[in-house]
Amino acid sequence: MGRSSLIEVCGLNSYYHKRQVLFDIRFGIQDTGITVIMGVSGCGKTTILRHLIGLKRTGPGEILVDGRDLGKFSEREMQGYRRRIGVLFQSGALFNSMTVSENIAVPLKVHTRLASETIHIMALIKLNLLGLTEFGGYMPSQLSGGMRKRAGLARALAMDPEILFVDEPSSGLDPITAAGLDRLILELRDALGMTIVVVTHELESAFRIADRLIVMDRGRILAAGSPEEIRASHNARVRQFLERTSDPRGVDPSGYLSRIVGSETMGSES
Amino acid sequence: MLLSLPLKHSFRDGRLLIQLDGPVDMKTVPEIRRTLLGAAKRREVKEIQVDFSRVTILDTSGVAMLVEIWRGLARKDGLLRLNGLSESARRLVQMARLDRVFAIVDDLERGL
Repeated sequence: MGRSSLIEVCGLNSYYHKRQVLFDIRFGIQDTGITVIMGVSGCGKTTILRHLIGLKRTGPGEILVDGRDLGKFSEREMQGYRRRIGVLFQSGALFNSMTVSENIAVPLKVHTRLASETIHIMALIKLNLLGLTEFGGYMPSQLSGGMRKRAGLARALAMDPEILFVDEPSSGLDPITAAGLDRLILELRDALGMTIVVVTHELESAFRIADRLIVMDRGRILAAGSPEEIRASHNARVRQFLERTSDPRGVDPSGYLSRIVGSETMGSES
Repeated sequence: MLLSLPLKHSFRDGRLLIQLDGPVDMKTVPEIRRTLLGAAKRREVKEIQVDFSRVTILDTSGVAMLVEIWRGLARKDGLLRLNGLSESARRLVQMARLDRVFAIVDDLERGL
């Protein structure tokens, strides 16, 4: 029997203005383990993440959290949900006017009644976890790109989230630093039994950390399964992505042709 | 009264045995901390033994609280012993590298 899903995405559609960017997305995020959503830039993976963390509202019944409809959460329920999750944004999203330690303390000061000394020790524990013990007093601007990512991760972990969402962990990092960050993500899964969702276009990183992979293309799920199943896929677009075959124009030829010769003409030809 | 919270406990020969129950997390830690820090400061308390065998969740705030209690006891050469930690709680303590600081034991002195 399969494991139950902590989050169930069931038929998610999404729009920016009138343009549809996600089409009938369906997958489950299981309790513990790493789910990686991957695909080329613009495929809709970050939009899914925005829905999952409640930054973009869903329609009724499109995302279920513990069986409850995220689209029907009240503001108070949404706040409760956000306390259960941690998010590492692509930019790190640190407050530049605060030290790294102060950044980690922010959610604890806002959302808990913990004493300042308890919060201080918790920040030290998170800094140690991310290999930043010596850098708690640094300002974000004094850190390298990799360190800023780790500091962002320390802040995302401040509230001991049940679910950690990570947006493009490797972007802008050299391969060694990126691999180090992947190792940290694996440690969080193994040591804390955390449920982690990673969005990335980096193949190596995706296969290094994923328990389950979801491959996106043009707003749709192209394939989903274990890393071995995805590697063995015969789907042409999946193979193109895995083999890094370039698609320099990135356009759908049928869409182009219907625009240039008219959809009626295209329809009559098919 | 030695403890301000109604925690199951016993006290003998300077040794305070406490049994925690349920979650030790960001919601419960403020009260538990106040109680245990208060006890750690009392002159007659030389050692605190905490039984975690009935604790369902231990998060980082609970570990941070233990550091504070440990500090309070260490100032007067006292001792903090932890017993009955679950596998996940042990891992959390290890990740914080505090397994070298706390005395983690498998068998707590009976007497609660």
